[in-house]
Amino acid sequence: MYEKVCEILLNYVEEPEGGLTPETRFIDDLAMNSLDIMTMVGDLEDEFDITIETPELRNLFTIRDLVKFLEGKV
Amino acid sequence: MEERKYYPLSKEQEGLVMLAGLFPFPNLLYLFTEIDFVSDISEERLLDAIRISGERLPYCRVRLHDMDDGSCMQYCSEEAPDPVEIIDLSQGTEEELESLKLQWQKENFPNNQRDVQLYRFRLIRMPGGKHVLHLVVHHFIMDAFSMMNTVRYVDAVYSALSRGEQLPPEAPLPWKLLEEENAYFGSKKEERDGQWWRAQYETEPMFCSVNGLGGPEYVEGKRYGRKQSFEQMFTELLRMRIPKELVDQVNASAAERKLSPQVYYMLALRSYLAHVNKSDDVMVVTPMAMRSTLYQKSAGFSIAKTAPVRMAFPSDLPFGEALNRVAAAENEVYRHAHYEYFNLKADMFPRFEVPDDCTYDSVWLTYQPFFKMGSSELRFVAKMLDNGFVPIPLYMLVQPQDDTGDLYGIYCYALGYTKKESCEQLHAFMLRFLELGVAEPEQSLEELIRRSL
Repeated sequence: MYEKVCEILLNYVEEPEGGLTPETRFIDDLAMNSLDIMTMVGDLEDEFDITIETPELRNLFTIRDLVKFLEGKV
Repeated sequence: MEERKYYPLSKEQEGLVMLAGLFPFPNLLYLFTEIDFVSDISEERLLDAIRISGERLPYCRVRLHDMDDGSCMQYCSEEAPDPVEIIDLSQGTEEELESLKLQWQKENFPNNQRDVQLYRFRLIRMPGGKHVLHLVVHHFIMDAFSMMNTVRYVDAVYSALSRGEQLPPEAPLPWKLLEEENAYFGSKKEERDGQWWRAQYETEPMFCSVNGLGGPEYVEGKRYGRKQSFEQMFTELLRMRIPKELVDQVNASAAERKLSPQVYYMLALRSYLAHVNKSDDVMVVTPMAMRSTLYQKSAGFSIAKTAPVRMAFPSDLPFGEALNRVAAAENEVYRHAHYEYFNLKADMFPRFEVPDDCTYDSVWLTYQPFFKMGSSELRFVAKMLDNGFVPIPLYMLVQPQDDTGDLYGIYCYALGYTKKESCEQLHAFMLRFLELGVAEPEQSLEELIRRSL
């Protein structure tokens, strides 16, 4: 799951120096904006065949947060 | 020699081809940008940079072709880019340049836009050693985002040539983008998006115009406006200043709240429309650049979508909270914006018994601060120019027009449908509303509206 999330993420951002880690923050470290995140959510829904409601994203700040959330959904 | 490969059009392009066939003015589908150089330039280097960019940006080389079966398809040409036309106005005047721009606005790409380059650069020498670059592109191959991508790429190539550095990477072919776009239609994602849109429009939206009316043919008692007649699609353009001080205040507030500054202008527009139309349920359409992935950003092409943003909330909401509501509404719309707005309307109109010659679309808004460049070897300001047509009563843009740090509200309003005074009143309201809202975000919209009028 972690590797897949990173693979999808790297469609949106250049790999930062030091690479991606579970603690990497979407906004603070990767400079993603809300529109990038909204589109990526669509990719995650397609990849894992799930539905993600926007309010569920509110507390997802790091890759670890997102992976844990997806594991709960799948 | 490798056989030329043809590709189908995207849904957007098919719509544009159909529109081009309906109207006698193909230039209604052209986008115009003027680039005013603030710094001195090397003409030779700029011309090289433009030529190299045309070669390394595959979407610039896309051309349309009529197939033997009558269908229209597209391909990537291997021909060298057309040379840049140079116009010498070094002894001329600004008025002469304005007159030329109006003339160019009316010119068409030759050969019915088939098998020809669909963008054209002109370099104008002005007095005092200044230069202006004029760019016209056909919407088939570029939207405003990719048009600016092209200008940025020219800037990057110019800088690389100036410094003896490596050129920026060549952009990828746009065909994967086209494939992704076309794969969406008929997919589960489209079905999910369709369900989402129908849920947002279970109740009828309001036609919220800038003057509180539906236009000259407003039908009393109806809540939707008449579509413009063809004659009403010709525009006047009004540019009104948003002072740097206010721009900086909005930007600072937005940074603190982790919002896009665009949300502030959208809230101001929404609040004005709510007031003049006496409705808390306001819909504004916004073109959205569907470019989030690295590939989408670099592949250029024309994939902007127009999507309605419905903002229904009470006027007693504090300004700060209303910003969050607008941002949330826009984020959700962006998530589902691949869905064809045309399909949403086709679903809504019969449900709400709306005749075909009516519409809910009254105002479009885009926020384009990226039109200003200040980095690298070239310093310039890019201004998107009017193309003389607008398909809705009012198209409002927020963009820089010079190097001062000011922004401008640019109002392309349909003559015979929207009045200049309505745009002036909206602009004055917006300035006051934003100034007050940024300073007093705990105030209700109702109170801020009252004080802004």
